[in-house]
Amino acid sequence: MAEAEAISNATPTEEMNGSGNLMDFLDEPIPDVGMYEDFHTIDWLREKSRDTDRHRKITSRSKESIWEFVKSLLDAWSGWVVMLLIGLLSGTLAGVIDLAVDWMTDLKEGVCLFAFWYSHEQCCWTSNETTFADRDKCPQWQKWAELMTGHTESAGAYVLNYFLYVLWALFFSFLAVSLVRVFAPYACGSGIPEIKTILSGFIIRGYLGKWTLLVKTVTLVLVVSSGLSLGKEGPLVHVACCCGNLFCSLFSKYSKNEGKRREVLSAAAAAGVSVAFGAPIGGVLFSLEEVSYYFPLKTLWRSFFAALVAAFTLRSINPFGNNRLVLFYVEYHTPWYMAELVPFILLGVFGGLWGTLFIRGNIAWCRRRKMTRLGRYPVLEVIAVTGITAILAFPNPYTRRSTSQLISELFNDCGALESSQLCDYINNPNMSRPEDDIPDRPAGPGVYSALWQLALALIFKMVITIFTFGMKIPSGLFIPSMAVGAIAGRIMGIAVEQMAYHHHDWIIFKNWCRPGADCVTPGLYAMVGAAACLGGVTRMTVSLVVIMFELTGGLEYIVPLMAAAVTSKWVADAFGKESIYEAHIRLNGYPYLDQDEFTHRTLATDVMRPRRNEPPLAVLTQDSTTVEDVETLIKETDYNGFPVVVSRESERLIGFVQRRDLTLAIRNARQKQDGVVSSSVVYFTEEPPCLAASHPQPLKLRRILNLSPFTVTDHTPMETVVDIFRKLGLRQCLVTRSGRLLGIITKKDVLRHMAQMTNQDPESIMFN
Amino acid sequence: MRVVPVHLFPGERTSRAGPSWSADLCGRIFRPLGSPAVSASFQLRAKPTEYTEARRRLNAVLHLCESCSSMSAPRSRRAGRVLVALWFLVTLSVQQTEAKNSEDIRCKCICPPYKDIEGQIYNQNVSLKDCNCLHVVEPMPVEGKDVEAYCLRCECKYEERSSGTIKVTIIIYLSVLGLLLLYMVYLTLLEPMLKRRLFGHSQLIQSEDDVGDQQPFANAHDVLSRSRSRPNMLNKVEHAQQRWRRQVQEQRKSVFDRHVVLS
Repeated sequence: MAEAEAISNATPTEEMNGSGNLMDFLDEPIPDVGMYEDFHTIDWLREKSRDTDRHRKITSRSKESIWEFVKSLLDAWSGWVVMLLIGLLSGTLAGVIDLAVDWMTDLKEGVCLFAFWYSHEQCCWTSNETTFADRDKCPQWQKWAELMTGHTESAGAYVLNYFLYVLWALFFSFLAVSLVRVFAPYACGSGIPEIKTILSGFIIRGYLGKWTLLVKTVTLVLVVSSGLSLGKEGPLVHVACCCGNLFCSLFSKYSKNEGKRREVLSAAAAAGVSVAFGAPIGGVLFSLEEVSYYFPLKTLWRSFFAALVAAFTLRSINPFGNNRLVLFYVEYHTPWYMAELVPFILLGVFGGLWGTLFIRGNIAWCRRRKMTRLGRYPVLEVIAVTGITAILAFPNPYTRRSTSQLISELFNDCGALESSQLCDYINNPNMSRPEDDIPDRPAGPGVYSALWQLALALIFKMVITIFTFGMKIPSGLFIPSMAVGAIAGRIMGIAVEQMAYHHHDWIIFKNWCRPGADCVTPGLYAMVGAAACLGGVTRMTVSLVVIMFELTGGLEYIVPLMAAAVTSKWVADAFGKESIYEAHIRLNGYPYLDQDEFTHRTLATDVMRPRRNEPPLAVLTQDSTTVEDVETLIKETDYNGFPVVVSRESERLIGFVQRRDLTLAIRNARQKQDGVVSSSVVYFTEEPPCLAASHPQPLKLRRILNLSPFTVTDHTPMETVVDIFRKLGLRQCLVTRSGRLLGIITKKDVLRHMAQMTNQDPESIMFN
Repeated sequence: MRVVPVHLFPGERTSRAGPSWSADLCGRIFRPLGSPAVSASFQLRAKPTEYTEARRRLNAVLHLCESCSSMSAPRSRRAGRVLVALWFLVTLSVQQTEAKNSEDIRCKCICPPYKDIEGQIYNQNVSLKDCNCLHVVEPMPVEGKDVEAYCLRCECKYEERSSGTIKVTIIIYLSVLGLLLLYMVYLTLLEPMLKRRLFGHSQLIQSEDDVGDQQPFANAHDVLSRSRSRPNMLNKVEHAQQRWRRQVQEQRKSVFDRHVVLS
């Protein structure tokens, strides 16, 4: 028997290592022992030691036969295989989402007559009827009014198009919210706060399940095409993590170990950002900076691989037809000047202010939704917000199109042949040849009308995004934040450009902006503004700059982007330390220990349970508790684990046993093991004493006992305890004084204590 | 669809693509796939061309560009192709017969107003190396010496797309959406109606039992015994479905009613 052989290989130290329970192979393991309940916190130490044990077992077996050796090789490779699969699937899904969104967004306006599956651009792709004035018009693509009435330019056609636009938007969002409600309620929201919490060691069963994956992918297309002010980037991270979880279940190495599973999920998050922004390195850094909790070097390499595969897969599908992974990829090489840092920093200040405003407003609204009657009407809320968005968005050409297209237009510099209204500059008639770098020109009437339309769009986006994020549909906030920043940046860029053109002689412009030179690029301002606003909301810095730099492919803009990102973080941090994700984590009361220092002078004894006037700690003794006692203890208390002591008198600590394991072990014994009755004694010792025949059969439970629970003394400062919890990922910690067990500190106690110390409601921490 | 901006460099054009060779290439490209009628002399002359064309067809099926401008390493390009091949297997859409060449590449030249000629857009499907103003702008609106000045202002873009992928993706997406909607209608409208008609009150009692089974001991025990007593496939599916439903109901309660998560 293989298990018996493994015993002989096991060294005595293994017994002492972490949870010694796995080393006891005397009888078959109880199913599900070592798993966690829903909404519980995992014990990172225990998971890690379980993986070490498993790994040691495989290594020692691999020397026995070739087959075992091959199996050990497969095991070693399984991590990379999972990464490959995650990359392939998340890249493919991102491609599908991009293509479907492209088509469905245009479906709101019209239809392609000869092939309904083409979007507007694809429909006119082969057409020869496009003219220089109306570049995107072709007879194959018909707006709904044109198709129904035959008119194109009348007021009636406009009203009909308006009406159908709103109707399609309402239809899409209604479908989305009903699908989410019926099939996968967990598919709503952006998912990043929850993934952050899950990666820090929390269990939300079904949050990364197959149905969530399917429904989130399908509804993401619907909500993005409905024109709501939301993006697909955050949800794509969730989708990628669902892929990661899906492939984890193929390999027992990952499916049975929650700690290892989180390594895969960290890498999957990187793949998600990689396809969302077409920025593989930015994705890895995002995972490191923003979502991951435990990120060893091995995970870094794997994340990199997953991000790479995902990006390649998406690149091969080529959804936007520009050989790039995102719609708003830009490429320019015009230089910038030192004096321009002033407007860039101003944009950073704007981004920080916007971040603060957004977080405050959105959290206030979400709290209202959570606490009041508003939360009872999720479907109505979505319908109402979609209706308002669509009705207000249609008249303004900058809000009518999809937000990605808007960002793309704002980022792009005005070329010689650009037809956009934003590029309506007055050309010098005796200019010889339109070159790549066109000198600064006076703005034409089109630019001025675009400016006030953009200003209206800015106000609209700012207000509606606050109400949109957090509705019960998949919704990300990267794109709306970037849009706000890009609009503000472009407006500022045009202002600076015109100022430079009209006032060449001012002292600031004298040095770098001679007449006839191309000195201001408004598209660059839009990009800096987008980075600043995104930074203000998410408080990312490094990963944000890298993402933006991968979007532009130009190294020379790193300094402007860095200046804006850092300024925006400073300004936003001055008003509140939390990013939008942390604010949502706190709103929901998830058990998430953030990385801020704990500076209060309290001791472990102030935090531990039981308090002074509370009943004593519920403990088990190693050799005098009966099965019945244990069952009553389980029934009467709701603690998640029980310390095991030598005896009630001495209270010397032996180990710690999880409630779930105890429940399962007793049930299993009652079903399978003969002679175990209510009066059987439960033994946690190594060898149960030989008993007379009159006694019922004893129940040996040493193998579910964790022999190395973490302990601190009662005078340990809380600063240290918090640090231990944060760095080791503990679930609970026992408090002793001179070897005697005094009490217990759980992660929830720590979080509640921290909330209390910062004058917040400690009851807001909901979960264990 | 891919975009490669092509600028006109008059000196380069003659050295790279001689007119006769490119004509051969074009003739071969637009021949329908699998047509056996190829003259012997042509075959002799066009061996390398044929090879290029085979590659081209492969690339068209894999809708990848031949001369990728941005991807430098050939190995990574191969990896990309393998991935695309997988993606095709997944979507069950190996459409070899579709004449992609004619539809999926184009060269689009935008020419601004010049003297008294209005701005014009020209759109032709020619290969990448012919994608310049001289080949695409037909008929040329200006005479002799003005051609160069006119062409310098034009901006030509070579683009490639995969219409097959777009079609298959949209159709798959719509069918998945349709199936989900049908199932949703079934679950929310039809099933309660059917059940009420078939079982009457007994179903209600059973569902109350289910609610009562939430304690840790009783529930799992119940599940175990039930799965043992009825081992056949149909019941297993039903059992899994029941379990899934209970999970979704739990999720719905915590998200929509109690607002404990995701609010």
